[in-house]
Amino acid sequence: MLNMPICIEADLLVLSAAIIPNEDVDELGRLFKVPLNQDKFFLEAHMKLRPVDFATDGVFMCGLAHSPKSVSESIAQADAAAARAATILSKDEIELDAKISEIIDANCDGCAYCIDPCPYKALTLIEYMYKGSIKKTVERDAALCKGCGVCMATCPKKGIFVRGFKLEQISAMVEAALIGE
Amino acid sequence: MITLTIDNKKVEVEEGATILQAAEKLGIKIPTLCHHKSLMPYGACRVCLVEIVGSRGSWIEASCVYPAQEGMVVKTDTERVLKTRRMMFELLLARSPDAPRIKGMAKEYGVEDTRFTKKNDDCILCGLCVRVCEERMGVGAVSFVNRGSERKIAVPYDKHSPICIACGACDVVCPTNAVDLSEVTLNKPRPIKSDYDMGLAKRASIYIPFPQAIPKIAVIDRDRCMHYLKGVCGSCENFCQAGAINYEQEDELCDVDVGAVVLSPGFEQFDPNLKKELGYDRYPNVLSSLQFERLLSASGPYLGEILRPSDEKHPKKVAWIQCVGSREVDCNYCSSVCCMYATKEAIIAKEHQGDLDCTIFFIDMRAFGKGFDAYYERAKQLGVRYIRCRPSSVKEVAATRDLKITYQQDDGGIATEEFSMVVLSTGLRPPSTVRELADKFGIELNEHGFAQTQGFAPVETTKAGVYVCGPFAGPKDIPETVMEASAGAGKAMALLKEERGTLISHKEYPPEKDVSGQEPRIGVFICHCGRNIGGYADVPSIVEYAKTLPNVVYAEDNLYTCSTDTQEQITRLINEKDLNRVIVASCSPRTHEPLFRNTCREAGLNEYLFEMANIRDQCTWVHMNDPKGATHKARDLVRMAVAKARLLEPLCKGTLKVNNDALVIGGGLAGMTAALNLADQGFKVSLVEKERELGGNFRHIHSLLGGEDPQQQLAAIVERVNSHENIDVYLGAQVSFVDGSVGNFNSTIRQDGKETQVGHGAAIIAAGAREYEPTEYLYGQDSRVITQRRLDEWIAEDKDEVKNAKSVVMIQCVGSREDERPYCSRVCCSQAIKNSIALKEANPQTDVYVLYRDVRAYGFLEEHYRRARELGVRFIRFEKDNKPEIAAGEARLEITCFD
Repeated sequence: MLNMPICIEADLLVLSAAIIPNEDVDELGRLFKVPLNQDKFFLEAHMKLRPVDFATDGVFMCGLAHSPKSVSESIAQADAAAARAATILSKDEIELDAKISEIIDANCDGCAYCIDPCPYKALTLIEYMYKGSIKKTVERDAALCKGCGVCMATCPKKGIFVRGFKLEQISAMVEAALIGE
Repeated sequence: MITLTIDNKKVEVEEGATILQAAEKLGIKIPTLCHHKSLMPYGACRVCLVEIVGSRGSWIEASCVYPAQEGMVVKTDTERVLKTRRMMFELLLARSPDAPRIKGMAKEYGVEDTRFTKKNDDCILCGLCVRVCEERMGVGAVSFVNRGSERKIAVPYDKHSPICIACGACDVVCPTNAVDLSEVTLNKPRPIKSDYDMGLAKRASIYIPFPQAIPKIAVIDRDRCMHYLKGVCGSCENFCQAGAINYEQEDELCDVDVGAVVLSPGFEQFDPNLKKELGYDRYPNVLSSLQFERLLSASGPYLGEILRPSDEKHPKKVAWIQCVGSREVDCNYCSSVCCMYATKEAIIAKEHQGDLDCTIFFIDMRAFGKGFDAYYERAKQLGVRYIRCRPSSVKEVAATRDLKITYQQDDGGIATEEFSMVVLSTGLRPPSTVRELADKFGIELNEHGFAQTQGFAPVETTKAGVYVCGPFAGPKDIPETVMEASAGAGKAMALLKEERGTLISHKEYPPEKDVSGQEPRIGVFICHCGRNIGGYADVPSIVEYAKTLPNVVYAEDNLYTCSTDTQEQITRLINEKDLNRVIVASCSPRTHEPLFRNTCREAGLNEYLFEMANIRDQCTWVHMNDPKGATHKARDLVRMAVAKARLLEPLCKGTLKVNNDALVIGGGLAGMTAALNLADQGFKVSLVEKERELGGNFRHIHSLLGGEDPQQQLAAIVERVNSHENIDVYLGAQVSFVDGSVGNFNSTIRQDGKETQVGHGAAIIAAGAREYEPTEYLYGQDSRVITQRRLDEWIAEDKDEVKNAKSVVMIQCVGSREDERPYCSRVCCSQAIKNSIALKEANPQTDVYVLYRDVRAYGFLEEHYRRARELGVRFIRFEKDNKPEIAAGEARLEITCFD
């Protein structure tokens, strides 16, 4: 430490340039419905305890897309992601969360308002015969539905709801919040 | 058997039992002072008095000595009993007016003061010490002497006892803390220091290792237990109602047949005793970082309050000294985690005690992990002071027990400052038993005693089938440890793929109870989360409030609701109190809902009859500075959860068949490694790479600090990928559409205008990143300004530009740790070190300068950093707001910086 400015003459100036995210990460994030952090690296489910998992089940990450790292750290994380993926792939079947949407046939008139807004494409319009006439309703794919509730919010006829988030259950919470002690 | 009636309740006891024992069986509480389960009944203190009703009137007796008799009628709560007990407490208070336990018991009976003359003697002559010494320890070092008002407990001739074994039993049983062991014994008392509290607290010789121990079972310290040492005592056997004490228990040897082994023995703390000059163990207010962790913990020696050991007062100023036992001559590596844990400790300490002044003495701030630089900046904003200096010694100021540190300031001047407490950021060492472990498994250790691994095989040891993870393979933080743990498991799974699932036993749950038509019976469990919730919100008042809410039949608080023993307790309470709805008010359902749902299942309750209120992340964490408001909000959240819980219904889960194939996006090193691992495990993999060639960034790396050849390795990996029967490679391809979800994704891969549909059960995103193209320092304008990647290539190609260079300057953090990109790129320091060593080795005459902000040569990279300096590479530091300036001269570049 000289505590003064110094001048160095050089034949080569080498810049240690940053590692920056690829441009296509936004698109990938959108496709798999997984988030990026503010620096545009993929965001893990838990910084400490789930470093290769996304919050979205079944999608994992490794390598520089997660954050800058060395060769051996990339390899370890890649093996880790593979091991985590194998916990799903090695099963014959998996349990689905029960908190998904459910159609009330008596209320649903098949207006189909809910079908397009569903971000998981879990709803389809179907027709069926009821007492000799054709009726319409929607059908929900249990594997695709994530219970986000967009359908429930869209439906004008209370024809669909999310289990565990029934209107009366949410109303009870809101009332309890408003009523005070 | 004898049948008697106590408080109108009939009870059967064995012949010879006392009234006290009979009452205990009925759950009737009778106060006692001189009674001890493992000692003979004595009847000295008289607070256990009860009324015995006979045919010719009633009389008062001490229940601890009076034998139960057939047909006896006993009353424990009559006015006569209470009046007599009150009198006894007045007499005891006259003798020991300040004993907290007596004061507390007396208060329960409404006795706050005494009408008798106070004697101010701590000892109440209950004789517990005399009896435990004689009966249990077989020593008899203390006894009663004199008679009447002169009666006291003493060592014979009022001298220190030569026969006392200093076991401390008398001290433990004394209800008034009247025993001073140093006045009793000639032997030196040896309090047992708690390992878990890092010596800051004491423990007994039978103990539960720590609050969340798994299993939560007591262990006996055979080296200190008097039963093992002298064949005496045995009190714990008397006390244990489960009859679980077995002094004859021996270690068992078990044979297990396994195909692979993962070693994760962790690390040990560097022994700060080896640093005498820093005052550890000499000065009470010099602590190790692990001791400070215990101070911060709600289950720690001061229940999370920051107090200094010398006087148990709040410190005003705390200093951390970094690199204690790291980055030294005999320990030439960086422990990787200390910069961040010291920063974390300082931030948490300031949360616990807002006015605390925190200072960290460091060499380089190695905040190289994801999000770490942002955390470091936050610490600085919160007022944590960072001083770039390594103090050589710590001196105590005798009068105040403060600690004096002399250090060099940024301008070169010397300053001396006093601190109330000093924390030594001790480094990570391999466990002391590691040599034995290594010999047993036949694996090699590196020069520092950590497991020897290779850069391209980070979790493999030198022996096939034996894997490592965590700090045993080198100092590392939690995320890297968890990654390596999964990686080790992945390697073992590939090796043992034929055997997968053969040893699994499926968990059995009790049959689900039908709660339909039942009135809701809600149990509410409110978590302190150590200090996270309990330190800010008034948890007991929330419990009381919860009890007043409709359908709540039970509410309690827990230090940690998520601990194993609390799960058992919740399961028990669901059955005992017939709960059909459960609420936990604690942290985030994101992390803990599955655990509590499982607990409900264990009690035969449908797991969806559970509701969580997040009173930590969404309450106490955001309202730390407003405890009243936080309490109020927590009550609101609990009330809302109760309102919902009343309407909860049982739900049942569906199942889905899993597609066993995988999709990996990115054909770089990470993507190929992941694909190979899955393929080796027997899964089909589609590997999608957007370029026409596999390898990604790895294609541009030509040398590594470990000496391995990356290009040779790359060729081998690409060959393995291309020839693996389980991998389909799509080059020049991109994923254009993804449908489905876990277990059943359906993706569209677009390649050369052609679309292919692939089904897969899981996906791995290994999309890589790229090198920043600098806009600063004349890059792109002057051909003599290049990036490290280019230099790496030029060195490999033996280019003239490199060979002829007499002077090379490197500038670090170009595009990193800036306002628009506030993160550390982690690998650039080691890249610069690697390339400067290569330059120096090729031509020692070349001048190499590295202009840096912090040299982040973490872990074993430190060795290379030292080697670079030994070779003559000059490292010059600059500040973010005083960057080097470049001028392009005809012949050479001129770099001006401030040294």
